[in-house]
Order: sequence, then C-alpha cells, then structure tokens
Amino acid sequence: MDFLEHNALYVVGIISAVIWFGLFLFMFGVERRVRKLEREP
Amino acid sequence: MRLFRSNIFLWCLGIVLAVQVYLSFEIPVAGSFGDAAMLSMSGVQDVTPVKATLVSVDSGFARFSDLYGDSGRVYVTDRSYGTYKSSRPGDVLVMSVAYDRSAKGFDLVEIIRENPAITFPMIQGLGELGRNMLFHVPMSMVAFLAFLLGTIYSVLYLVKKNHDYDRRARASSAGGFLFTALATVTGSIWARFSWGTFWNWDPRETSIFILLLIYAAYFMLRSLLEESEDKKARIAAVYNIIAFVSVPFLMFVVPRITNSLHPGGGGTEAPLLNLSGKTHTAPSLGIMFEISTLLFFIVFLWMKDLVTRILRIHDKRAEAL
Amino acid sequence: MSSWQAVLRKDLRVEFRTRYGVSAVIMFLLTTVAVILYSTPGERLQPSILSALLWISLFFGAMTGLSRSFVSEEERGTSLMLRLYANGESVFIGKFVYNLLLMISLAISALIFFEFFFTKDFHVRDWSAFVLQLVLGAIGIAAVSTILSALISRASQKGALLPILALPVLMPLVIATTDATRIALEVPNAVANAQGDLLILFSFDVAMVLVSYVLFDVIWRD
Repeated sequence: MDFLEHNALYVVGIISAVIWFGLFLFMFGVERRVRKLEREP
Repeated sequence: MRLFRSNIFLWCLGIVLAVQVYLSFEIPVAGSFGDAAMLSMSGVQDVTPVKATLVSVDSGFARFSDLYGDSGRVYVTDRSYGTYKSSRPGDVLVMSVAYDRSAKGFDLVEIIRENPAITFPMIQGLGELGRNMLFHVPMSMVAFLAFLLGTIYSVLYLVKKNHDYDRRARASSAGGFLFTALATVTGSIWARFSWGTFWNWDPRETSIFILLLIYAAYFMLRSLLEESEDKKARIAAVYNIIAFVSVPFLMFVVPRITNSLHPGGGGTEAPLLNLSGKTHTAPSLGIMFEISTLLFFIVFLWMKDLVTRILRIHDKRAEAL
Repeated sequence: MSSWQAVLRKDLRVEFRTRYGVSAVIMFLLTTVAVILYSTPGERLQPSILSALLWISLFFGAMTGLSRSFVSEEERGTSLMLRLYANGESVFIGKFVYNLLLMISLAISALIFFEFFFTKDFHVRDWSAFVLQLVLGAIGIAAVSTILSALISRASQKGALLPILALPVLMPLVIATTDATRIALEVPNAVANAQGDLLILFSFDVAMVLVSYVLFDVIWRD
C-alpha cells in the first residue's frame, strides 16, 4: 500500500497507458478483420 | 487512407501513444518556493512540489538559487539530511517541501527527482490536475475538427453524389461524437476535483450536452428514415450541414460570453485556445499538448477510416443480396 | 407579382380558411400560461424564470405551428403541384416569410398573454432591446423550422421528428434570446448590456438563413 501511495504517478501513468494501448490493440484487431473482409470478392 | 494499411506505422502509433499517455502522468509537476508558501498560507495544501537549483548544503540547511524573499532556505531535517549527500551544488532538484510559517523557511519532505529533463508548471489552482490539459483539451479540439470534417464530407456528397463521401461523413460525425463524449467525461472528472461536483450545468457543460444531443439527433434521423439510400443520404447530409452551423456557437461563442467557471468564460482569455492565438503556458506543457492533439487526431483519422471501410463492406453486401 | 409572393398569398389564404396554425398555437400558449398560473399562485416570478417560460412557450408553440408548412402540402397532395408551378427559391422565400409572420404573430400573442396574466411581474424595462431580440429570435426559428420541415416532409415518418431535430440546433439561439429577454426585463438600457446576446442572435440568423436558402434546393429538387 505504501508503495502504491508513494508512486501514485507511475501507477496511474501505467494504467492509463495500458488502457490506451488496449484500445490500440482492439482497433488493430478490427483493422485486420476489415482487411480480410476487403480481400474477399 | 494509405498510411493506415501499413502495419509498421500502426505499431509506431500505438507505442508512441502509450508512451505519450504514460509521460503525461510521469513528468513531475513542480512550482517555485513562492507557490509553496502561497498555497500553504492560503490553506490549500501544506506540501507542494518545488523545482530549484541547489547552491550549497551546510550543516543546518540547504540553499537554493530560486529564492523566495530572504527566506528561501530549505531546512534539512535529520531524516532527509542524507538525501542531499548525493546531490552536488548546481543540481536541479524537484522536491516536495512544507512551508514553516514561524521560521519563514521550508521543511524538506522528500526529494522527488534529481535533474529532471522536463517538468510541468504548477498552474494556479490546478496543481496535479493540470495534467488533464493533455487529455481533455486535445479531445475537444479533435471533436471539433471531426465535426468540421464530417460537414465537409456532407457538402462533398451533395456536390458529387458519391456514396463514399456519405460514409465518410457518417464516420467522421461518429468519431466526433465519441471524442465529444470523452471530452465530457474527462471534463466532468476535472470538474469534480476543481469545482466540487461532476456536473453543475455550467454554460460550458450545458453547451457540450446540447452538442451531444445534436449529433444524437443526427444518428437518430439516419436510423429512422425508411427511404432509398440516396434520399436517406441526402436528408442526413442536409441535417449535418445545418447542425454544424450551431457547433461553433456552442463550442466557442456561448461559453465565452456567459459567466462560466471554465477558462475562457466571461471575457477572460483561455490559456490554450484564444483570439490572440497565443499559448499562455510553459513550453513543456505546450509541446506535450501539441503532441497529444496530433496523436489523438491521427487516432481519430484511423477510426474514421475503419468505420468508413466497415460501412463500405456493409453496403456492398446489402447490394449483393 | 413575383412568385414567392404568390406562394405566401396561397399559404395565408389557406391559413385564413382553416385557421389551423394560429388556433393550434394560441391553444398551446393558453395551456402553457394556465399551467404556470395554476402551479404558482401568488408567487413572485423572477425575470430569469419569466424569460425562460416565455421562450419555452414560444419555441414549442413554433414547433406545433410551423412544422405544418410542408407536411400539410404532402398530406393534401399539393406538393407536386407546387413543385411544378414554382421554383425552389420562391417556395423557400414564400414559406420562410409565411413562417416568420406566423412566428411574429405568435410572439405578439405570447407577449399579450404574459402582460395580461403576469401583470405583477412581467415589466419590460427596455422595449427596443426586447423587440429586437424577439424579431431576431423569430427569424432564426422561422429559418430553421422552414428547412427542417421541408426535410421531414420528405421522410416517411413525420410525426414528432421536428422538435427533436430542431431543439438542439436552435439551442444557441434560445439560450441567447432567453438571456436577452431577462436583461430587457431587468435593466432599462438593455441593448448595451445584452450586446453579446444580440451579436450571437444576429450572426446565427445570418448563417442559418444563408445555409437553409442554399440547401433548400437540394431537398426540394427530387
């Protein structure tokens, strides 16, 4: 607990970065699915 | 757009985005000794992060070159005396200090960072909350650009009658709606810690709410119409253009002339978006703000591109049936 | 006689024959005022509340009355004839002027009702500012409801679509007029005090009239 309180900035930063990176991964997955569908005739 | 077909570009975007978001929180916010004294005397907070250059460490106290009157000394307490040992005169320190009113000096609480490459300024009344400037403001700017782009595509559709422009207009407006919603959520969280409540119908909050209603009406109109694709697209494009006429009023004019708590309200000059075109903030925050805006805008463009392509596939399948 | 005047005359004649628009609007206003009076017996109403009430009744009154302009053409099956005999420009100007006249008569009757029923509280301190913002507000509402009414008359479900589409678009205008009305009720030299509101109203009206004039042809031409 003390560790979390002391490094709150890093913790919040990492959590937000992970959330945004998750959004990126989701969009990347959609992108790949769209590409596959586009290749279909 | 071509760029989004390149996997290398997309991975770079994702990694840069994550780094930018992380740095937005990691870079320390630091003020001056003057800020620390003022915040303590006005009863806002006792411990404040301060950035200053170390001049010397004597047995009793350390001297810093960023002096506040003649009392700009940081008293070295027993507990933290050792921490100065690694610092040499000339080092820039970010440390949290507490103002000692009776001694007119400062007590060191802890050293946060030694020789930081970049720090954010301590903005009056915001402190750590100022970081939200790297999320809330870029999001609302991207939202406006998205609505503008959607309207341009609607005009292009009416001129050229190409359904691809209609799809792009829909995708842009959807992206604008999403970013407006994100700006609303981040703004609401900001309001909770700056003004006291999540939502108190400040003119700025009212206008963003109406903005969401406008585009909700746009999507509702689109889904309620049971016409041919051409007619649907034409009606939606006309409504999109009419709706955009009131967007600048809602985003820029009404909150600026009414008495609002939001920066820029009631004739005050907003720090980032104002008529004189100047950025009233430290260069470190300004640069990070510009990078954030650019990254969010690229993310929006990618979303718009994805939605457009999904709609294109959808329409193609509907035609084939 | 230019053709937009013909469209206007036709609409006025239809209105005098059926009196649908005016009577619907007056009934709406009476109901609103009655509800307000019933729920606030003997209470002093502040200018801020009165101005909001005035514009709520004007806005929804306009939505009931003005939405008819194109929908009724579709319902009576006369829109095809209109399209044959008149070009888009004159139809738009004719309908816009008709809507503006209806809106101004609505505003005048609302003003009479408010003066009559809220005698104690409703005192206009600055008539020039009050009339100015009323006219500017009427122009904006007439322009938006003309184009949106034409828009929904092309859709298969017409019903309650107009207020949903028009309310958010007209909101900057309603905010500005409500504020200007409050100022005109509160202080004698309101034009100077409500300068910002009047400026918003003026620029909103200019933008809306121009945009709807240009876009009307797109909807009208099938």
